[in-house]
Amino acid sequence: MIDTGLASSVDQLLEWIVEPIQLTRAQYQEAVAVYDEMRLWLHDPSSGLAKHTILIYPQGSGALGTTIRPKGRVEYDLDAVCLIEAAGVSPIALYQSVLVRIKHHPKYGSLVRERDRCIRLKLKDKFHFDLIPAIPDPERGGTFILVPDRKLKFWVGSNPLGYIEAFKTAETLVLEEVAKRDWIPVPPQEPAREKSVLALLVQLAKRRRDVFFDGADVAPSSILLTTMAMQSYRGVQSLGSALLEFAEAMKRRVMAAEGQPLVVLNPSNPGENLAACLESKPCRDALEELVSTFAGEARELSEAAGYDEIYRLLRTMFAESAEFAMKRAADEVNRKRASDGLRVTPAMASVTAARPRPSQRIPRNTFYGGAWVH
Amino acid sequence: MGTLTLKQQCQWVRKLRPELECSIRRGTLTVRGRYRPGPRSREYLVEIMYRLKEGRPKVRVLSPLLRSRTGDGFIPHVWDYGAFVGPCVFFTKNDEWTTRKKIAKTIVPWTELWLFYYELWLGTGTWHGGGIDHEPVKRLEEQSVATAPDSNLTLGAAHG
Repeated sequence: MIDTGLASSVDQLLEWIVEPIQLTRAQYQEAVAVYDEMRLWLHDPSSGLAKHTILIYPQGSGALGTTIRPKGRVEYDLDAVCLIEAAGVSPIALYQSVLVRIKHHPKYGSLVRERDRCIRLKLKDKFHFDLIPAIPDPERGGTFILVPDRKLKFWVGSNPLGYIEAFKTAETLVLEEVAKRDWIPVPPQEPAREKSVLALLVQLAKRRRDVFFDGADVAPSSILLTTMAMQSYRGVQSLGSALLEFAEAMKRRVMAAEGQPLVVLNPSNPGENLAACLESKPCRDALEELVSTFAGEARELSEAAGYDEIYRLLRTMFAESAEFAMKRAADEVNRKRASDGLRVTPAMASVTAARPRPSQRIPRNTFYGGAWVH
Repeated sequence: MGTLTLKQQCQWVRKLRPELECSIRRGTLTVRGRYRPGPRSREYLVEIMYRLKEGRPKVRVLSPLLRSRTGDGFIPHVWDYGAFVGPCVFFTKNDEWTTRKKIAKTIVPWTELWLFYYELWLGTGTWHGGGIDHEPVKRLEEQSVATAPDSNLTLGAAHG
């Protein structure tokens, strides 16, 4: 066997799949630039909000490191919370005061779109920034917040920092203590090789969804996929094994509901069922179709023999990223060939062998020929 | 060191690649065995035949049979021996293979390498192993007069 650098699992190939689906440097920098601009604008002494204590922090995939590059009709986004210590304010008053401030921004004011629970800046290149006005939840305290629902004119409970903590715990990482300051930076975008298995798993699941639905409205939300991944993840360090465990656990969970409402509670906000949006039949059918397909593919991938077969599966699941992964595999071998460092790994050592055979260097060669076979 | 005899070639195969079977019959060395080029590759049954008077080993993949990826029947970097088509793993003019070299250290690992790139090509349609193309369906006796563009000599050049 050639020392290709590939393991018997598909872990390395899956990790390479993630590299081209992460945000480009420019996309990441644009997101951070908008975030920084908005936090400075909201904190500026000229702002009517400045008399309050304001904490601004990223939430969702931008905070978890699970954002993926836009594909087809799917956009990428950055969500941030603007937490204002304003006791006694009404939901509409809070929403309006933040809205007015943002609308006065010289660069972004004209890009504002009013959404039910956030204020959206619709930027170019398939990117939008969602700012969620909020106040601390006086009853539940801690990291719980109340978010105004503009249409329903009441408060909705949420806990984005609690969610981040739950995710980091599932990753077996320790959440960095929030420093005493008025904003939390957007974390850097780590290369795939430095990410946790759970973060990679979430990115792969989201990309599979995007390839499957191409932005259709019935596609399950990122937070639903992320939460189900968190809840199925048992700390295994093999990405291939984690993918299979997750896909099968998700299928079992969805199918076990047998048409009854699916309940996926937000781990940081127990009263919130993240699957409530699946009450519509088309959404539920779409999820069932996705989980069945995904579980079948993950099983096939775990058993497939032949890199052509593995490529075929990866191409179906993750589209053009599969080609990048295969090229990376070839590049690793070619790099060793070019430096005369490619070796043959000895076959299984015989127990009767006096000493193990050393690996042998493969001399350089040039493939020749090419023919049509009939 | 001069030309290695068939017996010497066989001894080297047994020493370096004991998992392969080696035999000599009527002036032909046959090295046969199962190859799995990468940890998730298929297993291939491969036969290498070598006659001193021909000077060049022939490689044949017995199973699974080599196939093209589309209907055109094309496979990159194979040689049409008439009776069969097999991986073409060296370029004669570069002296990569000479009768002084050990099959176990050259033809065998090059064939494994070829099979690795073959699987990638079968999937993606891109040959990632570099090499030199020639006019298709030329026979072995024509190889010595074939010329090749130098621009294709670098590793990693894509074909196919």
